[in-house]
Amino acid sequence: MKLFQRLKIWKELKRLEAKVHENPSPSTYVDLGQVYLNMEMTDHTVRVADEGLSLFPNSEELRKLRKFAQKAQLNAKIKDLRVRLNKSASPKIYKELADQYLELGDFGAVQGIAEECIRRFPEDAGAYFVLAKARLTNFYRDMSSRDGLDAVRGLQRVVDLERKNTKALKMLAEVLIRVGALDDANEYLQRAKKLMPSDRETESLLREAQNGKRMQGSIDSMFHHVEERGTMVNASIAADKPQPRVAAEEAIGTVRDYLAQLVEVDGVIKACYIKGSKAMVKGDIRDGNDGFLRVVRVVAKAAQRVSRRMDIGNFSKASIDGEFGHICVCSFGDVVAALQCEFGTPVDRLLADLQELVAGSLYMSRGAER
Amino acid sequence: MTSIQDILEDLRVTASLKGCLVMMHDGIVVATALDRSLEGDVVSGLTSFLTSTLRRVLTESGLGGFTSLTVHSTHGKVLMVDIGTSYLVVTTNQFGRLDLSMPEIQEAALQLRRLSRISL
Repeated sequence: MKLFQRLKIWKELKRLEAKVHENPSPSTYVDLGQVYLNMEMTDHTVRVADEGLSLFPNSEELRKLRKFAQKAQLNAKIKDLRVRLNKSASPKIYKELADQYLELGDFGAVQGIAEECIRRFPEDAGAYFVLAKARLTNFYRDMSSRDGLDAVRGLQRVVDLERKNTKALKMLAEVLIRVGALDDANEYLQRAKKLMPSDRETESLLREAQNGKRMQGSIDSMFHHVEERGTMVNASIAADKPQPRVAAEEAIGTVRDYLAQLVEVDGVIKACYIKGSKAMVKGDIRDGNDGFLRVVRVVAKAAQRVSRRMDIGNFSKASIDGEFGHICVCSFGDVVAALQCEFGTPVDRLLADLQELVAGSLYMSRGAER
Repeated sequence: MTSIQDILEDLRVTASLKGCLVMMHDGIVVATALDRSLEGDVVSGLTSFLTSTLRRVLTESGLGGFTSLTVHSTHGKVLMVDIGTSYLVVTTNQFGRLDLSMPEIQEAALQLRRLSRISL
């Protein structure tokens, strides 16, 4: 009976795997992931969800599936870290444990772990940073002034202990900009700029610190003001980036618009969208023989071949750094989107935008086929 | 002095990698620290195909050389860093966070670069 059931499940898995490749959609990926989940194969579930999210980054169902499977994996890791912590406590293990809880979204546990670490290792900036990040997340979600102020104090402590922590400096500046404390934000950004003079993110934040809406009074009163009003004084810097517009009825014009928006992002020199032998380009591109287009085509093809032969699945994205700046490539099937940008441009964010573009265009073309 | 092998072994453990190796620009393996599931010759052969193709196309397109190349696939990631006369190749599974391991990788690349200079 058991053998019969197993055979049945394997047959179902095979059918679903084929369905996912033939007709990729969030629901086919979720169906497949759930079968793996029922078989307690969480690694496979995460793999399927990741594969689905690389194509449909905005799918809420896929995110839920990934979160659920990851939760099971994280719980196993947490158990292991707890054992290690009991044997020999160190700030590193505390940080790892807090990071795991942070990934799980258990902010109560993050707080508990970080506070315990601060008590035992008061001069370690890591715990303050994790705690501040958790509070900052709470503040952005609930706009509770208490969390916001605690996050600011935590981050100030981090930048006092680690004067070169640019990540904390930028995080601190960003939250201050959002509540309207532009002068304080500017101070931290100048410090970050000294440490990383060509960082694009710092420059964007500096611009925002100069042009944003300024509030009067103490920092405490600014956070209370945000809590009372329920909205931030200044919008998120990430909101400046182009927003994907994915709809079945939107045709090729959307891809063109999206490429144009990408080229407008600070630091981006050129962008292209290639499907089969046709290419759509925006930015500083001479003609069809432009070197950038050639590099993109060759890299996408070679990386796909290597990925397959190395047995690491299908190639999804790549980034190349060199004298020319960065080239980011994102691919699925015969669709490739790529861009070239200057040094210091946030590559991860741009790769995510390219993924949105590829996934959105495939979604649209499927919609049109139907 | 720490050997190339020691640096790779340390990197593999500290950055939780599936494996790492150093290979010459033509694909000849110098040293490896790989998981049992990986074979040095296969990894170096395939990555040298990728790096030589990329170098060629970049030169022909007038874009110059490259310092690093990161490839993300559905089941794994590969990072290739140019360390002068050779490449440091790093592989992880799909869950590996190369961005978080970057300080360790850069530190290892720096040490390897220094070692290769001394040996010259």
